[in-house]
Amino acid sequence: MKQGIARKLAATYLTIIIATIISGAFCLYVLNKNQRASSEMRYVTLPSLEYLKEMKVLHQEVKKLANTWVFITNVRDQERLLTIVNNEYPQLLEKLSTSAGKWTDDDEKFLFGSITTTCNRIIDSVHKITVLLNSPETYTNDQLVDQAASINSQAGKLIGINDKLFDQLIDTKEQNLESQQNSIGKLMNLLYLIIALTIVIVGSVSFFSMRFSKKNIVSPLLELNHVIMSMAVGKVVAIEEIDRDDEIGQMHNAITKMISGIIQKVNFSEQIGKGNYDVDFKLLSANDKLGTALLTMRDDLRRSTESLIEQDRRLIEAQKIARVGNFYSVLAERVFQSSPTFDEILGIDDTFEKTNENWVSLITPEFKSVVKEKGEEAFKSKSRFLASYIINRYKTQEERWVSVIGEFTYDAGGNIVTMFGTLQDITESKALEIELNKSYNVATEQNRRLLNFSYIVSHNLRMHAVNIESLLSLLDESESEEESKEVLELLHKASRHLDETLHNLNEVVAMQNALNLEIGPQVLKDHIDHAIGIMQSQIEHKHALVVNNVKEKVIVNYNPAYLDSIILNFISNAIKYSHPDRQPMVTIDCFREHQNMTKSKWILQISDNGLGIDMKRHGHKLFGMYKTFHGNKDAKGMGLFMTKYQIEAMGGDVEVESESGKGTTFRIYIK
Amino acid sequence: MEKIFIIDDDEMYQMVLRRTIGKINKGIEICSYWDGEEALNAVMNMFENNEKKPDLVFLDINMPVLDGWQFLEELEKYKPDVREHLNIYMISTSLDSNDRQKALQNKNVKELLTKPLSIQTLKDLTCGGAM
Repeated sequence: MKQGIARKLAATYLTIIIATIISGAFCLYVLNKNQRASSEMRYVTLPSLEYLKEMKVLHQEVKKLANTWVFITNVRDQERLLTIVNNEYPQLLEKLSTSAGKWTDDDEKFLFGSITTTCNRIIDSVHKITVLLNSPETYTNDQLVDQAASINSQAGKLIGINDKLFDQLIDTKEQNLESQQNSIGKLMNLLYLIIALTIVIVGSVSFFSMRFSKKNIVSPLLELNHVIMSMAVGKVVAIEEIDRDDEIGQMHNAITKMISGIIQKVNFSEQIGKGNYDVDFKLLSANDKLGTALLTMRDDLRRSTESLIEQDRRLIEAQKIARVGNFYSVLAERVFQSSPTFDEILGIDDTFEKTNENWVSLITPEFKSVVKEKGEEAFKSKSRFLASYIINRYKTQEERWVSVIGEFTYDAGGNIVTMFGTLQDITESKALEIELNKSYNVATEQNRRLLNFSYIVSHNLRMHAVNIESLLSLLDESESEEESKEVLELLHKASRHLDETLHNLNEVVAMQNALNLEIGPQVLKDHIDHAIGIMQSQIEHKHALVVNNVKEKVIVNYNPAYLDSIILNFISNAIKYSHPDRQPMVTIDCFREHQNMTKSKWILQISDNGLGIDMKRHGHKLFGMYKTFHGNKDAKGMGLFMTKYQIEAMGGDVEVESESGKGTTFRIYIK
Repeated sequence: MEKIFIIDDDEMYQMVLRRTIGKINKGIEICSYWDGEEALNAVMNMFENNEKKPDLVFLDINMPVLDGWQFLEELEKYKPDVREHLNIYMISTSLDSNDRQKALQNKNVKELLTKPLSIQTLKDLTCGGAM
């Protein structure tokens, strides 16, 4: 049977109460006895003894007066004796009788009865003598004198008897008083003993009760309190179960179980936190609300996580399809986090340290300042960062066009804290855009050429028509046959010019319609030498010096006919427009210009020391059709127009530097 | 009418114009220039040497070296009050409305005439119409 802590405490307190009650009862009993003894002593024994002693004094005084009164006629003694026997004696006797009524001892009562009887006889004797003494006969009658002497003698005897009785009774009473005093003293000692015993018993019981309480209640409770206080601040320490059946034991074991449950739940939660949703635990009971909630939370989290994983997977797939990655960077940490697609676009693998500096290092040199400017703009205007640029992929150095959109967060001081954004691989769309731009430029150029062509057609063809019309008018107006002949000759000439113009226009049309030009590797030096060979007679005629510095190893992908035409045209122009005051010199060089790490292009440079061109005046129409610049009537203004067209058709470009009177340098960019 | 300048790179049309004007008035002196620069030099010399100014200037638009518009710009830089000294008629085969607009806005140009110039037009211009 379980003995509860409450029962133990109740037994302890009951013991203390009973001990206290018993000792109290004893005390009361002893006090009562003591009071009764004291009362008897104070109100019975002591007054009785006092009255007896007074009576004895009076008795002695009576004895003294009775012995002498006969011979003494002193009235004062008589009166004193009569006062004693008539007043004091009876009064004192009555007090004594009242006191004696409370006596319990029969012997004392008997002795008192004898004393009373004797006293009454003494009083009676005194009265008799008094009566005799007051009679005058007495003094003359011997008989009466004898009678008085006899009464006096008898009274003397009675007084003697009473003296003994008084002494005997006073002794008895004094013995009684002593006995009573002894009894009171004993009772007081008993009371002290009871009180002392009560204190010892109650103290012992209390001491053991306290020890019991400390060992079995306070200490375990303090220990549990410590555990609970630790739990209150989140500290959970496992404790062992104890073998106790009482409430403290039950409480301790319940807390042990609770802590064990909490530790289990903490471990469970930690496992959930790590994403391990297969972890399980046993509920403490069907009412384990926290445990049930945790299990529900695990299941909810499992579902949410699975959903998130699925969403993340879809997002990654979507990013992969859209070629969009995302990134996040805390600028102070100088590192960034990124999605798999971001890494894939930049060609990043585990060997790449994801620092912002390393990212910037992937940006091609020509875009670094652009990106920096865009960043500064976004920072100043607190707007989005938007930039498209080329990166060299990590390791492979492959070029990719990327578009970056980023948003910054700022601290209270306006400094950038984080940057989050997306990076999209726009290489394909950029290629399309470039292609589209190219097509647009081609279309624009074609449109421009078409306009130019229509202008040429309207102007040049009309010019010939105007001439022919004017000449026909002149023919009509001619006044002589000779004049008509002259005008007819002019008409022939105009007709030839018209034909020539049509021929030129036909060439242009043919050239513009030329599609799928055959392109192949050409040894540039050979083509230049070939052109110089063709121009040999003109070169010799002008005493010109043509220097071909191009190395044999320079091979370009070009249409051979265009290449010949272009080189021939530039050399031809250089010779044709040579300066009359100096030996014509034409220098041909070729060098490579690097666009970036992987791309470069050839530049063919043809320089002369000829007449030069006033670029301010003619630069804008240098390559136009039918444009001439030196007042040379043989110039048709078709050469540079055709040459530029051919260069552009090969994906290249042409630049010119010239100064009037000093010479000209053409640079042909070969793709 | 004593003197006319023809500034045109079209040799054929120069010859036609020269002959037509000759038919109208053989006494008119005709000076021909093949491009704008050549004509500019001649005009500047004329001003500098106080030579007799032409009564009429036919100025083609499309020419090498300096076209008709550039000729006018350069001339104005040299002689801001060109209009006070020269009667300039632009001549062109162009039917381009932009050219016509440009000519209308140029204070130094009397008119833009479209080639070919009819004999009647030339008669009007050389027989006092433009004087």
